[in-house]
Amino acid sequence: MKKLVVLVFFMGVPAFAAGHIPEGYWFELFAKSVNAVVFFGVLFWLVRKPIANALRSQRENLSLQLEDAERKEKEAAERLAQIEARMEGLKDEVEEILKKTDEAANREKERILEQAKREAEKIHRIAEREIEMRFRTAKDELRKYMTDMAVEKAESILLEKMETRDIENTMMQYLKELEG
Amino acid sequence: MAGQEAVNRYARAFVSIISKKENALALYGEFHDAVQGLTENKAIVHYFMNPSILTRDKVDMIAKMMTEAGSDEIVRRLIVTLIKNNRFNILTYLAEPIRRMLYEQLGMVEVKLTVPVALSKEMEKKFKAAFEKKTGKQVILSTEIDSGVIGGAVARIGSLLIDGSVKTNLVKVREKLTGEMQWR
Repeated sequence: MKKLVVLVFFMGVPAFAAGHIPEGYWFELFAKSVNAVVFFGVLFWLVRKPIANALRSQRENLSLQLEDAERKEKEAAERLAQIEARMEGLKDEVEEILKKTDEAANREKERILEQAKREAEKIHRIAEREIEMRFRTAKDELRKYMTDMAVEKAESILLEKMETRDIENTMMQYLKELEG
Repeated sequence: MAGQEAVNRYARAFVSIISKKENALALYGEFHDAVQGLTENKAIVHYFMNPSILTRDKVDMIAKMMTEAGSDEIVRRLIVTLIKNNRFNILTYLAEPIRRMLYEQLGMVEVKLTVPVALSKEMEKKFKAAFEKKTGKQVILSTEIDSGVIGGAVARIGSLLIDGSVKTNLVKVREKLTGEMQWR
């Protein structure tokens, strides 16, 4: 209201600055002042509630946002604390996992080595048996070949060298065996 | 083989008849020759195997042929019976079982002897005597010369094989040696 009075007062300042006051000036000033008072009064009456509401809403909104921000900040801080705590524990956990992995890898390595050793021994045994078998087969085949050769040779010698008398002797021998 | 049952039946019947005769072996020989004569000639075989020719005509034909050839009554009757019963196809297979059954009936046995060289008469007699002693039957000895036997002899008496050949002995030696090797 004070501001409105000051405003009306300064509306007459241009007349004083000109040096003389024309006729009907005060009435006009008064009318304008009343008009201004009514205008601003109506304007104030009209705008007061929505502006107040808007400002209150904005304030409440800001307050809520502030509260929300505070809450989020708190949560973030808690989360950060949790993460930090977890990070602390994570280091130990990582060490533990690394240790276990190392142990498992070592065990696997030993197992694989043992298995490879067994496989190698098995292959070695099989190879030895195979060699022995092939050697024996080759030996048998050679002996069989020699026997065949010897028998064939004996047969050809007999066919070549045996005379009729010798053949008749073998037949006589057969006859004797037959007679028992 | 066509009708083994029939072959045996006819063979038994024929043998039971001729075995009572003194000339049984001669009758068998005659039958054998007749069979050979009939079956070796393709025209005769075609004629007797032809189903479009009446059996009566075939019978008349064979009776005439055999009478002209002077065949024995018994032999002729057997062959005529076979043709009458449409059994010409078994004629070829009859000779062997008849011979076997006849020998058995007469207490004889056939010995097939394979030797590397021809046997002298004396040796043949000795062999015959030895086989007769061994079998207890009269032996009909037939010899075959095979130089592959090398020495000794191989005798086949029915299903019995008496192998005393040098060739077989060599085979045995080889088998023994190779057999011993397998056990080592």
